[in-house]
Amino acid sequence: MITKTDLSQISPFFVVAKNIFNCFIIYFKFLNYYRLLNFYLFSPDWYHKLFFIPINYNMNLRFLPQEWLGAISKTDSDKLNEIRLRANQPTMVCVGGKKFYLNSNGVSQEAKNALVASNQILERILLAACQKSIYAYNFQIVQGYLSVEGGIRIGVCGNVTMENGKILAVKEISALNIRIPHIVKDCSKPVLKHLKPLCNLLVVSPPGCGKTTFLRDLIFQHEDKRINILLCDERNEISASTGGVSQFGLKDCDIYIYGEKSYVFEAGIRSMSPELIICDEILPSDMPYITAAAQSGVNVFASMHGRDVIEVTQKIGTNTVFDRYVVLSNRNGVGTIEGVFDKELKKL
Amino acid sequence: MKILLGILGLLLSAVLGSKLSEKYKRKERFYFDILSFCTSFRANLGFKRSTVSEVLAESGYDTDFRSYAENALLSRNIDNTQLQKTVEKPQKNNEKQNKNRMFSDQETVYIEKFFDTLGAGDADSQDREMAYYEKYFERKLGEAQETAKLRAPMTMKISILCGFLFCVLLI
Repeated sequence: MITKTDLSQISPFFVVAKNIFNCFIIYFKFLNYYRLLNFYLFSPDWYHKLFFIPINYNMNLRFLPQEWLGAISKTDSDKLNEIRLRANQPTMVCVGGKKFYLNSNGVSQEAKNALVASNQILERILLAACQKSIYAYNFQIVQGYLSVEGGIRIGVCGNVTMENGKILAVKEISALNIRIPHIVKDCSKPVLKHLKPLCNLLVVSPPGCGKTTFLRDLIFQHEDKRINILLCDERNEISASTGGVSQFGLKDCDIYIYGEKSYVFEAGIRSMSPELIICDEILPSDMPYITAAAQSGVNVFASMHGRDVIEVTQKIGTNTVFDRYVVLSNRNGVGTIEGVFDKELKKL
Repeated sequence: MKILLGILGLLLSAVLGSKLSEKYKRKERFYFDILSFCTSFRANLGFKRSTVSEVLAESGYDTDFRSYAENALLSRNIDNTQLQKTVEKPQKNNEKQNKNRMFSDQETVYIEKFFDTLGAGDADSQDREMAYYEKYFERKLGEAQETAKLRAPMTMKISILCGFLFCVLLI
């Protein structure tokens, strides 16, 4: 009877074959260890994999091509704020307030090997985000943005077609700015003590510093206080409602989606008897509605673009209805509270 | 044995006849579905403005129209690799349909253009385009109904006659 060892004794060919086979085994073992090491230590989601925590990829970004989705999944999805796509330019992402280029391995400081979207891809992305129904979203696109599932706002930039002073369409898309909202629990808690009793508040910050997130958290903080809250969600960013239900789980709150402030402040006060109205990104032209609401005994929490309180009061005037001002920045990360100011602009 | 074979031949010819005549009815049904889709889509444009897939899901359409519409929508998918796959899919379907001679070349071009324009514009332009296609499909439905009225029973009769002839020759 011939056994395995006997075979190697019979012919030197079997010895050579056995050694080659062993070499392959060692090589594959090394490869596996290297992969495992890479998998756990250098992958951005290594802790998810190590402790078997499911990775929560943002399924609301399904309108992006597979290549971009794959790259985004390798970034820190909890801190991803923004994806900026420009026609024939490297894709940029904002993670935790810092800007990076997006490549197939995740993020990088260098533009080399970054993913580049053509004009055609941008148009495809827009069409996919509209669920292949431009007509259903055109009222948003002509205003320069598009709200999709999960409160994601896509800024749309391109050739604007106008007729009789009215924007008809935005075509030949040149850039898309995808902003991903996050819930930062208790981010507004340090300010709450300054809002007692309930008063009018204006949140001030430059774009991308967490105004919307701050306002959303303020709603969460006032949820169980039995206050009638009316939310004017012009871009469906604060509530991310689908089928009348907020995807962020906002409760005890009446929500007007896509309604202009002029309409919401008038119709809302008449029909919904609110005690507190919350609205995002007001303009100086919106001040008459806010003043009227405040004079009707309704409190208003609003936000506005600006670097500081002085800059904002130059725009809306010093004698406004706002009792408190909160200034946010991204100095120590998005949503850094720079200060709370009273009506006389004194820091509290 | 011969009688048994004859009956089998007759049965087969009857089945073949019904299959062939069904083609005309399917075409008629397709145009009927596409027309009713146009109507509900235009009504949707006026008020609700739901997405194309939502309008498609609302009504119970025949499988021919539904599969055609779904393939056409899939072909505009964002994923490039999927895009390549799905662009081929409706073409294959069309080839299949052309093999069945359900649609002429001109009809296929019109139907494809219809699905290409679906959802690719604002409400006003979509409404105007739907009105244009509606007229075309109305005319085609009329033609399909007439053809079905004439040819469907004739096909059935001819195939049954062929079955009889086979029986006679066999016996």
